Amino acid sequence: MKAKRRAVLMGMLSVGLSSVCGSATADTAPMASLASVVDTLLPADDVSPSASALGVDKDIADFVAENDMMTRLFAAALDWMDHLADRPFRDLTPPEQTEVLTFMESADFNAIPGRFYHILRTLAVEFYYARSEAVAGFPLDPAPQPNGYPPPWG
Amino acid sequence: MGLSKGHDAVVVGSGAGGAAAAWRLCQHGLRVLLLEAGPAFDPARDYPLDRPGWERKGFPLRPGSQASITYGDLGTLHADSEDLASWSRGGFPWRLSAGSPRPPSTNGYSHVQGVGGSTLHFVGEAHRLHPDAFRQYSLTGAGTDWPLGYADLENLYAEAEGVLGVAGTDADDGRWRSGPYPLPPHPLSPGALALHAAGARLGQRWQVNPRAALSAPWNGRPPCNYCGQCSRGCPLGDKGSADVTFLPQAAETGRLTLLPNAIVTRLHTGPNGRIARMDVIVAGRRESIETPILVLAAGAVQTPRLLLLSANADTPDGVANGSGQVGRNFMETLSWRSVGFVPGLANSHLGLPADAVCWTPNQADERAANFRLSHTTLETGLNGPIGYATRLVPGFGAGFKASLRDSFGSALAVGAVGQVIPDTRSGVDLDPEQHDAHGLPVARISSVLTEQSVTRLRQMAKAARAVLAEAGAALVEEASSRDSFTATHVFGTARMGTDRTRSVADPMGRTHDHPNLWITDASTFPTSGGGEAPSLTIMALALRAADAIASQ
Repeated sequence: MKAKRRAVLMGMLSVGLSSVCGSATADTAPMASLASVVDTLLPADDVSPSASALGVDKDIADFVAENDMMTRLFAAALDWMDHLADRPFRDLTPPEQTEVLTFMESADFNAIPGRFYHILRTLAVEFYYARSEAVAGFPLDPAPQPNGYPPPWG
Repeated sequence: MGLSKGHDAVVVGSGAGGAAAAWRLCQHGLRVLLLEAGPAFDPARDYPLDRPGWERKGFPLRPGSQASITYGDLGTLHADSEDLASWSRGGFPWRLSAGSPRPPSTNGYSHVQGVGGSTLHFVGEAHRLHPDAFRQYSLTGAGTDWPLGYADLENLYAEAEGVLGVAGTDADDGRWRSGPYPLPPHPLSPGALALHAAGARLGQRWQVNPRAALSAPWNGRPPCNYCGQCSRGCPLGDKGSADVTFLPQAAETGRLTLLPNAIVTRLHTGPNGRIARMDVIVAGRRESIETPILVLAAGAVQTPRLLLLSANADTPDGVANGSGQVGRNFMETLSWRSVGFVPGLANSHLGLPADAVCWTPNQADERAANFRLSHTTLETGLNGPIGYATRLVPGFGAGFKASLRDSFGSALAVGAVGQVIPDTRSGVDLDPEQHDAHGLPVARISSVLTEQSVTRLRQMAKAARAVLAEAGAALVEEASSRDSFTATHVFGTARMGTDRTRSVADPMGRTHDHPNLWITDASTFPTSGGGEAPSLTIMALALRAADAIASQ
């Protein structure tokens, strides 16, 4: 992860959220639902695969594991998401999963659901759209070099 | 080790000012030892723009490639400037409240320590200062005048443009030229064409931005292939950074010794006020190097730091600081960015970054504006899906993915860069608490926006919003200096002048206090100009100083 983006994320992680996430630890992090969450954010469609199909959940888990505060935020948020109903998030129906994330998207940024949503979303789209398979459907090559994009551009 | 002697001049810093000075001194037959605090970058290895995931990587960080910096007083966010607060439709829904201290951004003082200095990550705008910028005080009553004028630099500007291979058009809003640009202009991008058309309807004259990127082969370098990633490092070598222009040409003379990872820690004065030698750490070893001629070009933060670090019994306030002006008169640049989606606009992610500029953002009072607009869609990272997804397009799910694809290529960004008048609260000093790896105090930057700066920011916002509105854009993001300190260009901390009680260096760049100590970076700028990128002026001043040194 580029240092600047990491710094932005870490800043967003800590600011104004004084009671980050209780006593959860990396060992107790309920990461089992993470794949379902990122696939709700970035599902497969007729152009590109789902986030988990590209390993985005694993990329995020590896990234989160490097930082204790991030780990505690993810553990607390995913645990909260897994206890909203009588079954964990990953077993909810797609409409139910969408409903949860819709709530979190507009939730208070200074509380765990809102903070988690925006940090997770940033991580997910960064890891996802860094994969060439995800760039399908965009007028882009997998990388800007070696060919560049010579004119005409009309 | 053979470093201590065997050279006629020592240059500290290999960016725009140091590389140009070294090149010119070598041309004059001097043997030059060029010391660079940072590493040498290998474009093929360090600028991986040929691999997926490129968008997550900025200009690379390598050990020693950024100096430790701390921040002092950066001012306070005031409620009466909330209209200038940063926001984005797809970013984090959070902002600092009024009354909070203005923080440094993640970039803060954005710079590169390395062979080529900050030209390695500059986008390559090759601006001449407007002739009026040299007479700032006389024309506006604000700031100060330069002790030289445009005519003193014109031929040197032209020479630097030739080394870089600048592409541009002769029409450059009053910056008269003795000859054409070395290379023809690049074609305007779709985004620039949209701004050109919208600006024409408003009375804003948008034009080709002169760029240090090759529009045709030049001096063995290939032309640009428009990958759009100038600030991530140019792997082709078509961008006119110092490592592919001044430095190899200086090396060809056989008189340049370039030493990366060489950290100058102290200057020592000797008889007659001369700088006799300097302490340098090279590969962990402390060296003492004689300084027959010493040229400082470490930038407007590290140059004053080194001068202040070198205080001794003879110069208790720091070397070259008889005026007390070292570290004072610090100027950041005001920046503003507005971004909108333009229905019908396609392929705005293609073209050359920063390809169009508008020097006349206010139709009524053109030169008094002291800011300029430019096309910044690519420069600000809106040329890949991650930039769109993290800043411009909110939401999630299949609808989000489709919306991202549909909107891609229709974002249009206008940047504004404006002048700051020095304030007594702003400056660079030595942090009393923070020290670097060698136990030396790090530089501390203080920079407070005055009411005048906030007023200018508001004018910049108005002009940027106006042209975007005329282009049919719906705004989705704005960001500015109001909310955080972000500065790629900094100036003024060892300013030049004719009055030795109010300036550090004379009009040629020689310090008033030390006859063999010269400064060739933006420290010497009395004012920052009206939003021009400073690298070409730094180079021109460095050539002028080198000529003066050689004529001694």
